[in-house]
Amino acid sequence: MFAKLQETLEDALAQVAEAADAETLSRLRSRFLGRKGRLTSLLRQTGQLPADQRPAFGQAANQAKQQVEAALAQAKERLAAGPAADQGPDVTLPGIRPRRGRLHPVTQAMRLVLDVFTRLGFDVVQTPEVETDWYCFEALNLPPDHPARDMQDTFYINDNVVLRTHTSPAQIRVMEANQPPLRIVCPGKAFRRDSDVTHTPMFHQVEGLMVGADIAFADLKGILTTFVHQVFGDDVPLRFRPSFFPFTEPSAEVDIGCVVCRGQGCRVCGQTGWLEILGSGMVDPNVFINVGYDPDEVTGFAFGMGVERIAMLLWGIDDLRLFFQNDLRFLRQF
Amino acid sequence: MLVPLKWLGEFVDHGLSADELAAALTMGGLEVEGVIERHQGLDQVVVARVLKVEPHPNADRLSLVTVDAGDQPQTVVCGAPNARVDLVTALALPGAVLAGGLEVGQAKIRGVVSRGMLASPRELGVSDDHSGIAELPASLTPGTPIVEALGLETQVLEIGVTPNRGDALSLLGVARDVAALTGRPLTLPPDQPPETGEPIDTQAAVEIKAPEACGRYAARLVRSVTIGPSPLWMCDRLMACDLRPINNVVDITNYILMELGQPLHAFDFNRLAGGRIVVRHATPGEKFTTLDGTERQLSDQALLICDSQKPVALAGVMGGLNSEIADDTTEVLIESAFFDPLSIRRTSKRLGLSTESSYRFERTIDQDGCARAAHRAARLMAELAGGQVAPGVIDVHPRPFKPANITCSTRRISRYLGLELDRDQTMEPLVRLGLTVSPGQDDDSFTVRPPAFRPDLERPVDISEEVARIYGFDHIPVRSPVAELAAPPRAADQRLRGRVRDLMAAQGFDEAINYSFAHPADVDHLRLAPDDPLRRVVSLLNPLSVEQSVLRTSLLPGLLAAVRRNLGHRVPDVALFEVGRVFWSRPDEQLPREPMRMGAVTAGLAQPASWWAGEQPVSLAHARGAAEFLLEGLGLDSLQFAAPQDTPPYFQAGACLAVESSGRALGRLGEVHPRVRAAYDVDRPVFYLEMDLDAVGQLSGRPPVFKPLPRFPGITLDMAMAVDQAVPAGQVIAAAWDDAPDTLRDVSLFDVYQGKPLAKDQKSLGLRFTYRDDQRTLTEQEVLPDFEARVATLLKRFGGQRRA
Repeated sequence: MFAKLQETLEDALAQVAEAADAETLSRLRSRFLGRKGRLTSLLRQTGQLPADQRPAFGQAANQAKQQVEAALAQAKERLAAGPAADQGPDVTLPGIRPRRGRLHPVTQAMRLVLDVFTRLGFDVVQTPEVETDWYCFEALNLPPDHPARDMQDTFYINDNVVLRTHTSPAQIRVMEANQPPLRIVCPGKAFRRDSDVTHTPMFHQVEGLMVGADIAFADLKGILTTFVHQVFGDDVPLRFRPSFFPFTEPSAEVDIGCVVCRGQGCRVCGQTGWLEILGSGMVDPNVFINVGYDPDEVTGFAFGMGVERIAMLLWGIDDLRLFFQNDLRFLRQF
Repeated sequence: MLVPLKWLGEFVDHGLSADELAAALTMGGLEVEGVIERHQGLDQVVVARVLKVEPHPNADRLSLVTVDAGDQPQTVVCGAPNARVDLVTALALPGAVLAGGLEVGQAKIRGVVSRGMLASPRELGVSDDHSGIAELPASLTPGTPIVEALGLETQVLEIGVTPNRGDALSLLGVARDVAALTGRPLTLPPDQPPETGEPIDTQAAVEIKAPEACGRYAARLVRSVTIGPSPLWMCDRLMACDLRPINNVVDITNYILMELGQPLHAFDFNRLAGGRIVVRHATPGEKFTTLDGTERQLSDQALLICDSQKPVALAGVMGGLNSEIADDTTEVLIESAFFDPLSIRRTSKRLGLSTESSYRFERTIDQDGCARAAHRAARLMAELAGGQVAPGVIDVHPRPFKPANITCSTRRISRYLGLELDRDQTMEPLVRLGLTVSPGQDDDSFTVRPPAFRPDLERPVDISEEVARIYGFDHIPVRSPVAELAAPPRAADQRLRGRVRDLMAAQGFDEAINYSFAHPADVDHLRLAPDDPLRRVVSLLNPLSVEQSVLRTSLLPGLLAAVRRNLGHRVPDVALFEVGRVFWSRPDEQLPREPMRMGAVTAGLAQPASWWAGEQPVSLAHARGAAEFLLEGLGLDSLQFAAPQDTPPYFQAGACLAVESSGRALGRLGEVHPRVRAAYDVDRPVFYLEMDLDAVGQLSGRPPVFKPLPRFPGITLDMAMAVDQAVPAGQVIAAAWDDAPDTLRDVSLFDVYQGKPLAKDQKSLGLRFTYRDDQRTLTEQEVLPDFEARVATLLKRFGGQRRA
């Protein structure tokens, strides 16, 4: 009987030690300690022993039960703690994941730009990419034979229809169709007959226009300062430099402190410490007259920026042509 | 515009370094694009006087020249023919770097050591002359550095002049801005020549027959000139402005062009028949040979300068071969005229001939400066070419400049700029610019009369700009505009494009952007029928290349080219999409239609090779899934996919689906026809999905309709059946719904299997049926009869075998 008890105890402890889940443990508990369990049955057989052996056997059997109880408790604890570190899954396996597509860097830069202006209450408008001479030039105070037309090399469809050389025709179309006050941004493609390391014949611009009763040059500075600080960072300096666009007066180029060298002078900024990022100005009265607004009643400002340029500065892209090659080795970096 | 700094300093004593000046000009509206450093190798070149010339002991053509170069006499070897005693010339000492990059050292020439060399004007970089060593004025002190002695221009500003600032295309014009920006006075160069002999009007005459094109013609006559090289300081300044010195008379006209911005022309007076100048339009087709030797055929818009018999110059653009200054010229007639900007621009454009003169006339020159420029040219010809200036000037001025009277309001200018300026503060920068400004009656208004050199100033807004740029844009405050706080209407199409991009990227497609241009052969590559609307391309008149000579009517060619490029880079699994416009010409409309499209292509594996996914190549079902994911993501429901009536020819027949919703065609998808992809050198299957975003936009944006959540659980029952491979799964699914009770809520295909133990031409389809009642819990017993009846119908209808 004592040998049988010892054998049962060892069997129970071995099985408990090997148990891998809670279900097995509960099965083992009933197999050994349940009403019909093996240890319980042995204890019940105490009566069959000679009287002098009974107390000792009873004590041994109870001890065995306690040992098994303890082993079960321990095993439960062990299972709750989870498997040992060296017995778990291969944690170094790369993750299982769906393929992630990327938005084109031009789209991403465009979104950064538009986000600032839409939060300022600018409406997003799109107008045609193929335009008449009137919308692309003449209404913007660029009469035929004006030397300023040399500033932009134009793709012609016929004498009167062109690929828009800038997104500025949107100003005319929007003002023709709406009364002031208004504030809009117009993202889109523009085309110039130019192709080299720093020019692609197609590129993206965002045009902006704000017109109201008393909009001043100081307001233009305010809005564009907000824009630069939100897109490039609050600590980036900017300057407004007098320039010329036929459809604004005064006109200003906006330069920001070089984001590469922090204004120290480097190859990207041509050692000047400044980078030109957009053109702007107060809407020329002739433009208002061309859309039927009274320049004595309204004033406004307009601006336009190259989106590729902004993407290049934000992400350190050094070759404009990469934007239109659709090389996945490029696109998947953003 | 190139601005040599010493020259500029003669007009205004600005007291600024090159960098400070560049910064001031840039912030004042004349953008300095760079500062060019010149003559940097000349610090070891000094003035030297020849003391002795001896023959070289070992060479006939060389001599040994001893010079006084400040300290003790030095002897150098020289091969120049003009080395002579007392000649003052330039000695380049070891260490000097001459124009063309020659580094001067100590050399042994035919056995004689020469420490340095005597240099020609070309070697000094001050002219093209290499006929001998430089001949310098005898007044120069030996030993003086040559740059200092000759006043050579060592720093040149490169200014990008905007088209509105024709006035800044001269040293004088830039100096005016410098004077205004720094508050320093402006000094004009002397211009009155000494006069002798017969007055000009007894010898020459000018007649203007086209006063609308020639508003002014001033002429002076200089006799007895000696043609020769210009002094080196003048050559150097011309070279600094990128002009080639030619001879003293021509150089003087170019010098004044740069200095005063007035294009001049010098005629050989003896070659002007009748001593007359007649300004007239060309006759249509009239021929004229310009001094570059080209015979040009003119339109009647071109303006000609003629003598009494023949044309002698193409007005404002280029002189004629028949009257140009030659080495034997002795009498010079100087033309200083004002030509109409538009007339010159049209002629210059038509002939494709742009010159320094035409460039300035196009941008309007200073009409009131014509006579002064003629005087100054005559004066310089007297000084530098020994000319005798005939008294008087012929000045025909049919259309004098009429200054505008611009009435301005201080308050308006302040409000326009967002500044607080009083009237004096507003007027001050204008006065500094040389404008005539008079205060008005009240303390607000004032009147500006711009001089002829600023014809761009016409309106009060032009005056605002001048105030702003001289006052400084930096001084205008930065403020937030005050505007009505109105939410703009929702830009629905912009939002739609944004969501389309997000949904495509979310399912693993990368975004492409192709040029809107296309090759005219693309429509052939797409196998389009002759009358296919996609053949209605918009063509460019002046494309950069044939590859970019039309506008795209489809996104597919660009995307296929992108697939090929990436496969070429060994990026094997390509999924690209593009959102953009295509262009369809409309015969009855001026502008083409610009439909908005989404196109997507996939090739290779659906999931790039990985440790968990099988190597599943992309298929029609992937393209369809992409369409479902996209359209459902946009809130479109009841999508219908069906083989289209006419498969577009760029899809493979039988592998194409059209998708519609609510009876509206939204797009198509399918396998690209092998011939089409072959035309773009793509060697493996490509699937293409095209969506009409204008149509999608009409349907999307409908808000979802909430349905209460089911309160009772449903029951799912699965079945699998083996059918012939040719049986379309879609038909089986559709048939499973025939006469369905309203408790049947879903039938989904959960498995398609081919292979053992099925026969070769068989496949197994696994369908899962879901039943639910909204009012109570269904039991399996209740739904089994319907389920079994459906299974039996399907088996019978499709000849299937139920699988365990």
